[in-house]
Amino acid sequence: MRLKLMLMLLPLLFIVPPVLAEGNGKLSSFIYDVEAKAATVKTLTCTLKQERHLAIFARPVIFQGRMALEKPDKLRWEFTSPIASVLILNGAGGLKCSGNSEPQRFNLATDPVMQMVSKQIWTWVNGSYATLQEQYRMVLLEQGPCLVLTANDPKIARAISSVKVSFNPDSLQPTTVRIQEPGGDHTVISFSDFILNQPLDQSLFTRCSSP
Amino acid sequence: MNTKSAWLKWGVAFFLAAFGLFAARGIYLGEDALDLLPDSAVRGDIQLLQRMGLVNRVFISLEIDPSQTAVSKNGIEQALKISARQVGSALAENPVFREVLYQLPSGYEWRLLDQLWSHLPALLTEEDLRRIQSQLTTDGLNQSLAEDFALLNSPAGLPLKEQIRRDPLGLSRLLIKRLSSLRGEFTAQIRDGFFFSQDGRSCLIWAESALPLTDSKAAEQVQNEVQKAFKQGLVHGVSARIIGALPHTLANARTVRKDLRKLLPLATLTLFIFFFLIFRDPRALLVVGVPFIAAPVAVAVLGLFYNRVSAIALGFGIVLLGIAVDSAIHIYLALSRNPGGKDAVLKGIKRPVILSTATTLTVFVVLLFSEVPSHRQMAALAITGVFLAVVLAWILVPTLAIQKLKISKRQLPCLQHSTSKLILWGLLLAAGALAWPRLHYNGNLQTLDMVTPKIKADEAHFRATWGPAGDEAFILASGKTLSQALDRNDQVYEKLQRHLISGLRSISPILPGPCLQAQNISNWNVFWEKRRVSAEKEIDRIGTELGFISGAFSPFFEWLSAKPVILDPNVLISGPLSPLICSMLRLPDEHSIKNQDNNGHEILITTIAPDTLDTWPVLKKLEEQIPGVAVLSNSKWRSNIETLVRHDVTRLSIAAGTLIVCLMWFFFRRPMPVLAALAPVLSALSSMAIFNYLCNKDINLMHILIGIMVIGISVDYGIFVVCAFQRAFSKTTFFAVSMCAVSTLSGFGVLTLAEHPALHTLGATVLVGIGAAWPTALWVTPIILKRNYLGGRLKAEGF
Repeated sequence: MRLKLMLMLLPLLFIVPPVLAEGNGKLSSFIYDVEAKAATVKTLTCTLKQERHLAIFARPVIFQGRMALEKPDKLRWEFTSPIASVLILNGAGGLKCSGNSEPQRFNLATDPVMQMVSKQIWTWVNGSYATLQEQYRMVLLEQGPCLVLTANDPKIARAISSVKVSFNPDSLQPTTVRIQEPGGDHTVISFSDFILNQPLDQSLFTRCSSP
Repeated sequence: MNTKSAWLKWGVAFFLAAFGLFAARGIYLGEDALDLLPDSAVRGDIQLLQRMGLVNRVFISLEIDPSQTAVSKNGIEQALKISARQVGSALAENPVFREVLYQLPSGYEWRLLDQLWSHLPALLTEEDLRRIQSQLTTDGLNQSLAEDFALLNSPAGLPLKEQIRRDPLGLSRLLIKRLSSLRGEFTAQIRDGFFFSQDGRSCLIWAESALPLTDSKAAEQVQNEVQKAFKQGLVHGVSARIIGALPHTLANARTVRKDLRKLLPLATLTLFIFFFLIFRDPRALLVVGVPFIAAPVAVAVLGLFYNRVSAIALGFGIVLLGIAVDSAIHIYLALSRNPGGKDAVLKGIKRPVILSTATTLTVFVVLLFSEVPSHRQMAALAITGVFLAVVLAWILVPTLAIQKLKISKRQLPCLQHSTSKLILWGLLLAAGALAWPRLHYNGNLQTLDMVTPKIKADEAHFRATWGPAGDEAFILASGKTLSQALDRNDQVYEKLQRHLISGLRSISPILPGPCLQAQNISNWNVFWEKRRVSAEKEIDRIGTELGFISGAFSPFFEWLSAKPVILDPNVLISGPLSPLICSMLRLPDEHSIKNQDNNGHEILITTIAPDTLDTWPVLKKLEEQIPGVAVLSNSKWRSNIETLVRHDVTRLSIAAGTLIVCLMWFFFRRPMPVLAALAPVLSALSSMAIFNYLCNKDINLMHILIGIMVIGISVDYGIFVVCAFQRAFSKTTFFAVSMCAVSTLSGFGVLTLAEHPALHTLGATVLVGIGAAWPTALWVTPIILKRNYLGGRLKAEGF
């Protein structure tokens, strides 16, 4: 019985793997290159522009600001217009400020919402696409180049239909991320003016006000 | 005595011992540390703690070895997660454990918020409503909705879109705040459901043992299973520390075993060498062994009254039989070294033997009324054993004694420097009388606990890593129904809150009882009845100004219009936080325990509060203020045991003292002989009081037992000396008293070398007590008797 099964599967050994190997090979190689580049980045600052197209917004909302990152666990996501807001993740805690309201400190251990947000942000920001492969199906499109990710987990798929990440062909830094939600809502975040591996003022990760 | 008759007597004695061994084989030996605790004060509390699973809880703190400095933060986290998962699942599959918690289910936070959201009106209190009211002003709404708008546009916005539509005012934050009540002063952060320390280098697992961890045999079994799980589950570079009752029970049992293994042979060897050097006759060694033939019979008799015998009581009880060795030595020495026929000598020694046995038995009868169950078992064993041992000594020792008639002048009472001796004795008694009221009755059970440096280090590390920093009190609210228990638990929480006690761990904020829930719903309805329409209009207006469409928050108002629903406790009990909730709520018949209290069918809910000097007055009152509430804490136990020890010491000492004085009076009929017989007792008590005052000024439970034993032994010295002076003046009495004292001192004295604090206390106290009683019997008792007897008596005896 076992021999019969092996004989039936034998042709597949010659047909299927080369196809998978070709597709997977390019994807793996690309992910390897992206991760290798990301690994050399210890600090990063860039400007960002976010367009939110949501059904509950009367019109698309465009936010502009800056991002600062210091690996392994410090991140500042700041919008400067139209409403100033800052989200800081620093180790096991963080800080968020909006408009003129008082800064709110949070502890990731006690705030499940921010814990989930931080987990998601770090997954994307660290550039660990190999880890993301466990949760998403990935397709590599040559133009860009860009990666299209589709969630394997139905729970994630209910919130995110797909994520399309476009990269700078030379630096392999992500330039645009388009997050498509079921029902048509979508968000486009564009990054530019990257400054890599420069010492960062630590107050970026401890205070809402800019240094 | 003819040889046939002697063999017959020994044959009958050994048959009795064999029969005793046979009859005693079915007795269940318990090694439970609870047997050392008083019935009324603490045992009930410990049983409540056992029912809650708190005594049998094993905390395992996994940590990265400090040497692993090269490992990345992510690598450390992964190693700890893998180890926690593997060790936790191995324990969870093991029947020795129930309720093993090492990881909360994935997505538990959202499931919980979803489950609780529809019951929010039943959970929010008047204080929460006041907070909501402050948000419903134009400024408040502007701020809330602007935050929502910013949040939706922040990296956090993507998964929160529906959440913000459903909850624009952020009411779920009030729920999250309530969830922190399960944490108290416990400092853990949850990553992927695992419990991590603040520095991320430790991970926590906790499990409840199905076997009682106060029982040393069970503790060894549990320890083996935990070690197996470590072997299977710990990855390279991760080590584990075990915290809880388990390491204490093991350390105590192992140290006692190690001490006894080391010291018993030493004590036996010392005794044998001593006896052999003095008597130079191997048969004399049998004299010391005679009383112990009674031990199996005494144990069998004990088995008639108790189904389960404490191993501690058995061990100490057999040691107490050693008191009967004194009678055997007196009989042997009287027979072998006194002139006259055997019958005449036996007739002469009969009175002091009966009197000393009567006083010993009286003292142990008093101990039968002790609050501590193991003391009662010891007393029962000693009463039967000492009585049988003296009878056996009376029958068997004459078969061993051969008259030698060697009496040296050394054995005469020393009556020189009488005044100086009396002054010294008076000073000893005065110092003892001064020290006695200054002694502190120490109720801290830890003074008898063997705490190894490793346990101390592990516990300090655990507190530093996980908290809390200080002691904790457990407030148990019980009820015949879950509703009743929950209602009482709410009252406890409310009273503690009212006194601004922080660091509380309670299920009340997320699972109030039906009374509080109904009240909360009523308040909620009244609150929104007045404000709902205007709030909807205002939120819509401000929302559209900020950029939201009209009706963006319609899910919130649909929810607000629905009829509030009471939270069924089963939702939480079977929900994602089930292990945490169940660790604080115990349903009836869930985990039956030995010696379960009569209220085992009741539901128990725990609230944990800091046990400090500030909180204790509030905690103490809870028991009086709320029916069905018990407060368990170290402060309470210390205070209860202190009261109990004080009460027991006073009660038992007065009873023992009165009975002994009555017996003495019955036998001697005059005050001076009574005082002379009691002189060694007074010296022993004084020296023990002075010794304890000089050491640490403490008296604990162990001192009661030892004190009574020392009284029993030292009064015998006085009795033999007084009897020697009165009627049956035996020239061997002083030598015999010294032999008895030296044998007791060498037997118990080696215990001062013990590592275990309880055994060390036992050894040191006997050493001090008997060490004072012995010279008093030799030098002070004769001086007190001098006036009454010595004038004519010594001359008559030809000295």
